[in-house]
Amino acid sequence: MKRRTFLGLGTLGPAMWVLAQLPARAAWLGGTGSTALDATVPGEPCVLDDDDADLLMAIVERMVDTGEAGAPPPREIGTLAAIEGALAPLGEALLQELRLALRLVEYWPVFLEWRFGRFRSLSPEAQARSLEGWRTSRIETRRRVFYALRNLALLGYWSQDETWPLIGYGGPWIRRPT
Amino acid sequence: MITQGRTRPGVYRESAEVCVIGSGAGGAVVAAELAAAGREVVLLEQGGYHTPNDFDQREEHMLPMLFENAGMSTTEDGAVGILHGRCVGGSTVHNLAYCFRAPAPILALWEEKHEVRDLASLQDSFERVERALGVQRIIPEEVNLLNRKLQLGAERLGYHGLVAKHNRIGCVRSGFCILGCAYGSKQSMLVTYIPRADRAGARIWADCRADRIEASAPGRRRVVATLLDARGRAHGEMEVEASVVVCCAGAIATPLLLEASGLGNSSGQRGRNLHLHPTVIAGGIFEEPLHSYYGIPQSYYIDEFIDLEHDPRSGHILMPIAGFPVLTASTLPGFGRELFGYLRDLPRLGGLLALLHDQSSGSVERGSGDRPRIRYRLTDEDRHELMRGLQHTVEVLWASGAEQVIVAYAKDPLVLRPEDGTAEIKQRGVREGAIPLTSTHPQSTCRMGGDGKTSVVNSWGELHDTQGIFVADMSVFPTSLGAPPQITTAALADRTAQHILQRWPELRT
Ligand SMILES: Cc1cc2nc3c(=O)[nH]c(=O)nc-3n(C[C@H](O)[C@H](O)[C@H](O)COP(=O)(O)OP(=O)(O)OC[C@H]3O[C@@H](n4cnc5c(N)ncnc54)[C@H](O)[C@@H]3O)c2cc1C
Repeated sequence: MKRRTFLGLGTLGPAMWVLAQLPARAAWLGGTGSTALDATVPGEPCVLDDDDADLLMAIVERMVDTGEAGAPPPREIGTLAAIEGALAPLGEALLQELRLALRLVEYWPVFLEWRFGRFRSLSPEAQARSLEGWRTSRIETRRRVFYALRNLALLGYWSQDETWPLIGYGGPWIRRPT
Repeated sequence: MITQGRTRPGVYRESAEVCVIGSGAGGAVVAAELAAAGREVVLLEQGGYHTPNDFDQREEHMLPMLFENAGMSTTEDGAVGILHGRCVGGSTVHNLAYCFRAPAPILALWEEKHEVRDLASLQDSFERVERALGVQRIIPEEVNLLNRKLQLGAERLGYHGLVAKHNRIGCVRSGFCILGCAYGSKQSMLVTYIPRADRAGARIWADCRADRIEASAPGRRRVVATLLDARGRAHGEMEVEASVVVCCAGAIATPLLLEASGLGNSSGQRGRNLHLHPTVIAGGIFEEPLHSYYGIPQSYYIDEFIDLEHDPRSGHILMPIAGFPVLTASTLPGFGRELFGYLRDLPRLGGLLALLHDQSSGSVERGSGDRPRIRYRLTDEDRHELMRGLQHTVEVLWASGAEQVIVAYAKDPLVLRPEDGTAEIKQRGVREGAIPLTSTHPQSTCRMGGDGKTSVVNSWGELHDTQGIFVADMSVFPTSLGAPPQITTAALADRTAQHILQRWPELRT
C-alpha cells in the first residue's frame, strides 16, 4: 500500500529519506547557528526547536512580505507564538511532517535547483522564486507543502493586532486579556 | 456533570445504559433526549469544553480551540479544505446558524430510492429541534450591508432568493459566529442541548477520544477511549460499559471509529459515498467599505439554481461569505506582495460562494498513523455545475455593485470587471487543484437505507450488522442534502433517540 501522510510527503520517496537524515542546521551547507526567537509569549507552548522556528520564520517572512515600509516584521510581533499555538494540538506525527517539510524547503535549492545555498542563505528575491517553484510545481506534494506553510504564515501574521492597520481591520468587538 | 479530561489524567471506568460518542448536532441531541427520558447516559467528546467566556474573537486562538486540525484539514490530494468542529458542541459552536429543514424532494428520494421508512415522523423531530434551538426568521434590520447588496444584485438579475431562518436569540450582530459566539446568542448545542443533557444527569467527558467499540456480547458494549491533555496527547484511559452505543462523531470520524472496531461494513459501504457540498468562492471588491465581516455573516440565500422538485440530484446554492483577516487571506491567491495587493482591500471585500449539491463521491478510511485518508473526486457533470456556480457568483457580485471580482485560480488568478464577462471562467472551468474548494458539510459516509446490502444503518440509525449500535450524525444522510444540514442532522438524531426509547426494554438486554 502506498504510504500517504498529512502533507503526502511519503510520495517524495528517496529525497524525503535523505532530507530526513539532515539536521535542520547543517554547518557544511552554510548554516549559521540558531537565532534566538523572543516572539514566544511566556506560557505558550514551544513546539519547534530554535532552528526549526528560525527556518519557519524565514519562510513566513517571504509569505507575508507586503513591501510596505511600515509593515511590522513578523519576528517582532507574536507571529511565532500564534503559529505554535495552532501547531500544539496537532500531535507529534503531524509535527514530524512539518519538520520534514521545513527541511525540504531549506535544502531544495541545494539539491534540486543546484544553488550554492540553502533557502535561508538566498536573497529575498531568490527565496520568493524558490517558494513560487513550490506553489506552481507539477508535483502535488510540493504544492501541498507550500499551502500548508502558507496557511501557517497567514495565521501567524494576520492574526496580530499590529498588522491590522495595513488592511483596515478594526479587530474583535470584545477585548479580553489574551 | 461535565468533566474536563485535560485536568484528570488517570484510568477511569464508567458504566451506563447508553454511551454517546461526539457532542455536535447529532450527539448532543441524542444525549439530552435519552437523559431527559431517564436513561443513564455517558457522553464522550474528544474536543475541549469551552464556554462563551473563552471565545475572544481572535482567529489564532479560536481556530485551534474549536476546529479539527485548527481548520487545516484537507482531502488526501489537498484539493478540498475541510472545516469541522472539535469541541463540546461540535461544529454547531462555530457554524453560521442558517436553519433549513431537509427539502421535501430529498426526503422523498430517501424514501423511494433508499427505502428509508417512516420519514413522516421526522416532522415532529424538526418541530422539537427548532423549538429547542429558537429557530426564527432573520428580520430585515439584522441583514448586514453585504447581504443586502447581494439581495439587491440577485433581484436585479431576477434570481430567486430568501432571507433565511437562524438559531440566534438576542444577537448583537458582531459577526464573529465562525469563531464561537462570545455572547451566548447563537443557540449552538453548547448552550442548548448540552446543558439540558447535563441537567438531566448525563455524565459528559470532554477531552476524551473514543478509539474503538467492542461488541462481544449482545446487550453489552464497551467503548475504549483515551483521555487527552490540553495539547491532545494521551494522558489517561477510559472504558465505558453500556447496553447501547450511539456514534455521533461526524461524517469523517464515525466511519473511522467503526473501522477501528471492525463494525458496520457488511455492505462494504462504510466510509463510502462521501459527499462534501464543495464550495467555490468569488471575492467582490466594492467601491465603499462594507466591513462585511461585521454583522450576521449569512442571512440571504440564493436558491435560483437548484430545483429539487425537478431534479433532486443536482444544482447549486449561492451564499454570502466574508471573513476575518486570516480566513480571508487563506482564500486569496498567491503569497507575499501579490496576496497583500488583494488583502489590503479587506474592508471593501465581500464574497459569494457557490455550494454544490454533489453527486460526486469519495471515501474516508484509516490512513497511516490512524489519520483519516479522505478521497474525493468531482465528476465531470459536477465540475461543470460548479463552474456554472462560479459564473453566477461573479454575475451576482457585479449586479450588487462590485467593481472587480477576484477568482482565485492558483495559476494566473482572474480579476474581472463587468465588461470582461465570464467566458474565461467557462474556458478554464473548475478543477480540483486549479482553484481552492472548501467543504463545511461532509456527509453520507454511513448511509441510511432499508437494504442492508447497500447501506450501513437502517431507517432508525442502527447498524444493519450489529444490534444496539447506532449512528446519529451527518454520516447517515443517504444522499447529498442540498441544503445547510444542521437542523436535519439534529432532527434525525432526535428521531433515533425516540426510537431507542421506544425499543428500550428490548435493547437493554
Ligand atoms: C464553518 C461551518 C459553518 C457551518 N454553517 C452551517 C450553517 O449555517 N447551517 C447549517 O445547517 N449547518 C452549518 N454547518 C454544518 C453543521 O454545523 C453540521 O452539519 C453539524 O454540526 C454536523 O453535526 P454532526 O453531529 O454530524 O458533527 P459535529 O457537529 O461536527 O460533531 C461531531 C463531534 O464529534 C467529535 N468527535 C469526533 N471523533 C470523536 C471520537 N473519536 N471520540 C469522541 N468525540 C469525537 C468531534 O470533536 C465533534 O465535536 C457549518 C459547518 C461549519 C464547519
